[in-house]
Amino acid sequence: MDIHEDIARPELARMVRGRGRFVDDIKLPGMCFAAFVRSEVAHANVKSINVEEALKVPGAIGVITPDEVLPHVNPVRPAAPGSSEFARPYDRYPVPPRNGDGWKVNFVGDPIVAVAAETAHAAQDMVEAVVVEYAPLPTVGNVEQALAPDAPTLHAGMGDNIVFHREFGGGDVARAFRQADLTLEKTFRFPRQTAVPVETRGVIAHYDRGEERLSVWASCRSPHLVRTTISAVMRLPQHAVRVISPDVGGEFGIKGAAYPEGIVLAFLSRKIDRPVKWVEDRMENLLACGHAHEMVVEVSAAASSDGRILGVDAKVLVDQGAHTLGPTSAGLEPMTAGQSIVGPYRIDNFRCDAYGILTNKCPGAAYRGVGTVQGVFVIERMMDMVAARLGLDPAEVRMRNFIQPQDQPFNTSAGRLYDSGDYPDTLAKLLDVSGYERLRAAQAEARAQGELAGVGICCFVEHSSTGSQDYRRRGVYGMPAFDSATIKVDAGGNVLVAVSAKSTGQSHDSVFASLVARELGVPYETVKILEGDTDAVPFGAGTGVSRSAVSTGGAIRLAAQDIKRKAAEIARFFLEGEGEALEIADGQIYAAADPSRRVPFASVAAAAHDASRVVSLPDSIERGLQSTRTFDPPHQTFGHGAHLAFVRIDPETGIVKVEQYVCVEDCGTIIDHVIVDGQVVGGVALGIGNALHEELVYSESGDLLTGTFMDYLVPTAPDIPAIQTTHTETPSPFTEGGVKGVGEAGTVGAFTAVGNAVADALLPLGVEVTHPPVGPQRVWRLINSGAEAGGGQGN
Amino acid sequence: MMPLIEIRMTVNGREYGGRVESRLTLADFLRNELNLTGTHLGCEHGVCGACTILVDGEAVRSCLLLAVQADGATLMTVEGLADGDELHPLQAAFQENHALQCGFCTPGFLMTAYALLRDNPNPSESEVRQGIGGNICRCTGYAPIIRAIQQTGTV
Repeated sequence: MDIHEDIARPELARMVRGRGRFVDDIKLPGMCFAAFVRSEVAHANVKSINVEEALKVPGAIGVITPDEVLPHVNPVRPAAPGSSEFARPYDRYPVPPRNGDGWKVNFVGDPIVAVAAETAHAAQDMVEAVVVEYAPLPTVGNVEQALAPDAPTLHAGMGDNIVFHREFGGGDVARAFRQADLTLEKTFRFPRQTAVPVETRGVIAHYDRGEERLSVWASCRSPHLVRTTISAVMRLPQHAVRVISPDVGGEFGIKGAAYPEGIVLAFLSRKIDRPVKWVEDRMENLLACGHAHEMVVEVSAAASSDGRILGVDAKVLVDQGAHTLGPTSAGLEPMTAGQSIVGPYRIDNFRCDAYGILTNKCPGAAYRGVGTVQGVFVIERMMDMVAARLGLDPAEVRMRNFIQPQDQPFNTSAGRLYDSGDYPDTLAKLLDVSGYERLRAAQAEARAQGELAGVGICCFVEHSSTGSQDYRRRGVYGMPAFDSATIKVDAGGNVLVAVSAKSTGQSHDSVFASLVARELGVPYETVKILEGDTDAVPFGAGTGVSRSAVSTGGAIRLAAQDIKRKAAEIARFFLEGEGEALEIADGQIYAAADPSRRVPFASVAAAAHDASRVVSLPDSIERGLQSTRTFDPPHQTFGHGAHLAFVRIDPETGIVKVEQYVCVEDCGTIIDHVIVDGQVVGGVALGIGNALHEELVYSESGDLLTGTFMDYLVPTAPDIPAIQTTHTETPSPFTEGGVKGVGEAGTVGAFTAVGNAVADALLPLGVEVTHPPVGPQRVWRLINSGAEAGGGQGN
Repeated sequence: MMPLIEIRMTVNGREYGGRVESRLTLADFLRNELNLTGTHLGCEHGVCGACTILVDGEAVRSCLLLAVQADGATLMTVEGLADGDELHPLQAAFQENHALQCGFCTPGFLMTAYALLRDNPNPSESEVRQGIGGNICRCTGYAPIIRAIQQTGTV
């Protein structure tokens, strides 16, 4: 069912002409500009806020302070961590909460005051003129400090800083360790990273006092979820809030939540009675948008002498920062990392103790590969370590541990149900396509010359398309998991499809339009996709968890079936054949037995709207030709893959060069190869950046030291090798058409394939890689110290 | 308000004039005063390349120039690439090769590539990689962008 033909892609045509429409491109009549005064101290009680001078700045319009917001809001939900039974509830507000006679701030960058002015420059001038007085509190800088018995607590009433805790697993771990021939104990430390879409966050809020209605233009991927949060927090009925998401300049997980800034902006607009725009600058984006991936994983593995992993015991400590922003509770990263540790392997005995921990750093958000990236790194590093200890080839150790295809669907000891996949076949294909033997020979040759070269493999499963059942299994409540599609055929036979998903670069316009065209049998050019406006599209979860192909695609298929049924019913009035089988193709409805008896789809559409000169429908036929359907993925799908990286390291500088990159991906039935390859290759590039360079570093006092693109390094073209992709297709038994998600697979595979390749290159030096990113500084230190280097790469 | 300075420039073949604060960047002038919103801002400190335009033929970052510095200059932005409805070959190649996903960085890549191909009409893959090394794309992994530029070069 792949889209073979070279279709026009309207979403690309607009962009190459510079005719995209992003939040910052929108101007409303009377619009003014906002900026935020942000905390300069990591942990403090704000003693006083003085806005007097700010209001004297030329062009100043107004300010909004915490006390103007606090009496009028409910705590932020569903993003509040209390939405999971394993999470600790606390009240989170869009502004610093009252704390005695002051207000509590919890990270450098915490928004305190919003200002509005006639120009963006004047708004910055106002920010400079606001005076905030702080009474600093001791900083909680990392998970170890947060768990100390005498640690200061971030949120009143919690008693400690543990926001999520769940112990889970299966089998008998203690017995596995008693039977082991070999045990390994390691501690992995993962860096704090952030998504860095090239378009930063942006919001325009307009509270219309005439209509008593709030409109919010926001760069986000889930307009309905943002509306839900805004209406709940601001105590407005949902129909009094409209959220519009125009073109989104990338997001990679981070634009999923309703951010506090957007809610404060709505209050500001209501107060000053003007539309107000805020577009964050890059420094704000790195400082305060949302961070992810930072965690410590302590893991022990028990193995037999033939390389079988008998059991794994893991403790996952996720550094969530000051809050959790993700829409699915504080358990998102801890649970996903923990559950990912068993990977594509049959590990019957598994125990995980997963924690979400609060610290005085930027709040935690989702970022492509959420938790999976880290869980996979842990098990794949352990596979290599077992191989090294036993003198086996790393690929062979994996082959001995895989879940076999005949055992699918497979219930893992980590509490997941895998749907389908032939993992041994995928790895075999990778070894073949990459020329594994040849690469090992090249490595041996390099080693003989005293050079550092390494081969890294990563085998993984990637969950996607989380449904409501999956959320319930994870103990997450109040999180809608279905998506929706409305198909409306107009009297001219053109098809408008409004969906709850929101493209942030995944070409939904062309992918969904081809799906509709194929399902309905109408020309592609007659189909138009509409997204990103809660007034115009049906309610649904939106984009995320690599879900759109499965969930919105599923809803589209169901709605298209309704339309076909109705169209056939009406076509009978044209064809005058009772009960005979009809088919639709190429915009024609025809008798299956005699295709010459046909009627154009457009004529049927006209009749449905009482606009046909040929046929008048009887009263018993309901007018119109439209359907709205929802699809809740019945179960998560698990795509899988095997990636390989070949690297060389310059021992003088520690610079890692990725010379070859090969991946074999399986995301079930493929709808559109071009889009799938785009997701995989782009994901791999992101993963290579994550593995080699990206790290947010804080000082001991809680200041961000990597606040610009000169310090937070994202890969550019010279850093990324040619990436070779191959596919296998194992349809999911759980979804419409057998499709699975693919949005995060590339990132998951690349992070570990590169990490393992660097570790493999350094193996002769007797050092171990447990602390990515493995960029020049850390690698150089590893080479020169002969031991794992600690501390931030930027230090 | 700061004093206003009068400036004039030619953008995409059209004459424009305006009175601006000295601190206004060229990018903000193009976007907010001339409504040429195809030029995007990704970092405003000269690293991401999204705001790249041509100033007197040179590819420059319009976030690092002040509008007053472009007084008297001839500019070209992404809106000036196509000839009416006819796409520039680079634009067509970007579309054909799926060299964009979200499209936010695309205008900067197009303008960088335009200058690159003018100076080196048949660049090798490695020359293209180096040539676009000052532009950040988070979606595509760069491969289709490199393909599109090389394909245009050999036209």
